[in-house]
Amino acid sequence: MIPSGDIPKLVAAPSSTALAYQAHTLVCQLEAINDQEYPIQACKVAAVLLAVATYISDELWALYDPAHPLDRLDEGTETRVRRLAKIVYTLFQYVGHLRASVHLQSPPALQAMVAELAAQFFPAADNGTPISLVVPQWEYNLSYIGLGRLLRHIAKRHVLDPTARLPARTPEELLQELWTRWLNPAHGRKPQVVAGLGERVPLQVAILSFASLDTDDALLYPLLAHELGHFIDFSFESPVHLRIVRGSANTTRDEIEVLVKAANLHMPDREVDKVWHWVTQMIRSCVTELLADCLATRMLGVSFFAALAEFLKTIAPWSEPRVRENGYPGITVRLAASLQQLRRGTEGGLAMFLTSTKGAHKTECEWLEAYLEAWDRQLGDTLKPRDVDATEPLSEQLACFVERKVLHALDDIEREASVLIPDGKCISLTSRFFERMDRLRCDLPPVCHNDSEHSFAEVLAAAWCYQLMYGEPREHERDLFDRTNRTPRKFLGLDEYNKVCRLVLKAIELLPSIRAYSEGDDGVPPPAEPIVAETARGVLDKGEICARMRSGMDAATHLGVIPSRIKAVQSASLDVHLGHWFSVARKTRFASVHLGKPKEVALLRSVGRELVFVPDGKDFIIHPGDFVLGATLEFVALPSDLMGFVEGKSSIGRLGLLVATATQIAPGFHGMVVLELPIQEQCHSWWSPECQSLNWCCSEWCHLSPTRRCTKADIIARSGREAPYTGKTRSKSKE
Amino acid sequence: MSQTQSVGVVGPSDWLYMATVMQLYLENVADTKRVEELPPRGIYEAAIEFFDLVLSAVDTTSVPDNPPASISNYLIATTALRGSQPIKSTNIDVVTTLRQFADFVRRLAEQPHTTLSEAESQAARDVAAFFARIRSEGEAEAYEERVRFGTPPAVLAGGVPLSLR
Repeated sequence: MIPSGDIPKLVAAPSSTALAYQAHTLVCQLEAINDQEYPIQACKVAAVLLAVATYISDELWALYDPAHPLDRLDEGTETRVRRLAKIVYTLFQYVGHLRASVHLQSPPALQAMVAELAAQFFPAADNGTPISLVVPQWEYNLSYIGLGRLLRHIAKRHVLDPTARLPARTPEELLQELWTRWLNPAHGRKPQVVAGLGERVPLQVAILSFASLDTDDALLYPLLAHELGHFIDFSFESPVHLRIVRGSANTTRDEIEVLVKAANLHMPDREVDKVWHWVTQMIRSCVTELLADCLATRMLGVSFFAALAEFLKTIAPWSEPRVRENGYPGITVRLAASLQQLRRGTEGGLAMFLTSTKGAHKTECEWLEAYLEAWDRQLGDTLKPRDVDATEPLSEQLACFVERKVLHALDDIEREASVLIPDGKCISLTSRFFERMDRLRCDLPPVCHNDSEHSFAEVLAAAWCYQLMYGEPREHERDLFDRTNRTPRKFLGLDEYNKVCRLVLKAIELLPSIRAYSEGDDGVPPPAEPIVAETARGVLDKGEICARMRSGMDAATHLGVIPSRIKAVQSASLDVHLGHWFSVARKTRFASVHLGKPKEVALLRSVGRELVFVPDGKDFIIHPGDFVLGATLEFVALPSDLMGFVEGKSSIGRLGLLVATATQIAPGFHGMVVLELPIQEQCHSWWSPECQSLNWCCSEWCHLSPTRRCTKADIIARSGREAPYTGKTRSKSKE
Repeated sequence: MSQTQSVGVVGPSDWLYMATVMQLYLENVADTKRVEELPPRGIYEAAIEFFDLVLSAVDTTSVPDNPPASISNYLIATTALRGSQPIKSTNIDVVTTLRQFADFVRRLAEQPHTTLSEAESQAARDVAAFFARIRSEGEAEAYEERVRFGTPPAVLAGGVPLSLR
């Protein structure tokens, strides 16, 4: 028991043991971030945070003296303990972000694409390799959290290392020192091995978050480019926007004093100081946001502008001031600056693209020009500075002063953006742009043969242009049709929007693997002349499958398989491959489920399943007796005169893995084919994707690897008298 | 909301530990009228860095490298000075006093193990009071950050000035 004489000490002092324990808890939670459940970016972020948290934990334990646990720390040390604790609290905020990066909450395809965009547009290598983690947030907003910058901010030498024990002077050197210590097993810790991390501390780290409400809304994904723009801006030791704030937007205290005096106000000096600080912050914030918009427009072009316009229109009225009190630019200034950037005549940019392709796609080009002109009229003279009467109150005078500074700096903002992302690296639309729009019109994912990660910008541009041009009219057509035929609608007038989002999501899911998939294969070539559907019935042979795949996507006979390659077509079947998503049966507390009661069945489908995403290079393991649903990598679109049968490759079936017991693909089906993958209780088999052969061994699991060839589909021509299947006509990437 | 506060923009709580140690150290110097060992090196260099940032905001010969950071530190310093000293008549007086404080702190490194005059001792007491004010404002801000769920210091410091509301 504590002697009663020590009770006053107990009462007065902060508990250094409790704080040390909190730091230890933070370390444990960061150590729990693993590459099985989380994307590799989350593991890298956790590693950087761990290096700092581990050091702080050690420091706090060192300040605790077990021989004299109640001895009061001196005033200075007590302050330091609380400052160290503050760093622990700050770092702990980010554990939640890491946890939110699990595949179910953050679409892996989006994570992959943003990482690719970062790699593509990030400045030169001396800035370090960017690590961008994409997560949803609960607020309806998007955000950029510059973790590297935050770490530099909190790595204050006077708090972390007041006695200068470590050979480091700057925050960067200090963080490098903590990283080196963390990697060194001599310090008693065993760091997790994270692929892609070296001896240099990674400080180009950012968390880019989108509104979780928009997780499935792929059309709003381009907004993340704005956050990526912040990441690029802040990746320099002296951020790019500061060059503008120091240059054309520089504001001196004297300028503020002149304004105050002109307003005949007798403001004390301390208030003038505050106004100066406030005005500088407003200008800086505004320049920062406009620079990020400018960079995003250069990265993604029309898709960013359209997404930004739709997003801003939902959250702000047109009467918003040009610059808000908190420094955020108003809706008109942001859109006008982005539109101005979009209209710049860069090689492959929208303006030049429309001019060069007008001959072949006159209607679409004219429509897009009219769309941009309508925006010109809507935004009017937004970017022209306005004058304010000298009799207006000081707040109005200052707002006008800020506006003038920002608009004056706009040329510099564009110039800096063009240095960061030169014209040659800006989004460049190609002849495939209209092909992608056609694919969406035919309910197909907007990807083309030999696409790569770089096609992301064009996919999104085509998606937005399709949605703007055709989406709403088609929605009305559907609506009219459904009302006339009294057909119940699943998404209450949003079927078309939902379809575009799902097809775009499938497209960006395919982009990273499509090039590897198509390696050494020229795809199914386009037809020399139009294909006429055969009148023969029965199983299609290789020639007819190829002919159907080659036919134009508008044709009633077109067989859509995306991605497609000629090697996959067998003599009388088509090989399909395993996708990345699996649905695993989960134990529930239901006593039973009545199959005649749709609500119970629906509940079982949601509660009784667990979705698992398996990235490239990883295996999915099925245990004996498991029942798992998979889906094909390929998006399959059958015309109304064809149906298919899915069968497991017999060589796999002989080992006990039965694939696709619900084998029929109905005519008219559009989507990924769901595969049922039960493995027999007595079976002991192991499928090694790496050596591409089947081996008997004593293991008890079956390893499945995404993108492996696992099943084949027999395509059968039917009589054509029955009405085609109209139920499941959507891409369902997670089913 | 994106965390795009300018690099180096801080509130008084960011200097809390430095201000605490410097206050205790300078009070001891003033009481004993002797400069013994300097404060820990990391702390002392942070104090010099703080004054450099403050004075770069009002340097008429060049634009600071990071204007928002310089101005935010300048605001911390002028607010603390006005709270720790009798009210100065002009802004020029405030800047002059800050320059004197910076010189005094710099000179500490040049005169270890020396005895101070009465005037120097009073100067040490004034600088200690200045740091004490930063400390108390830092403590207040740090507490407010927690109870307001972590509103960033730059937002607190950069809100609309009262005179304009």
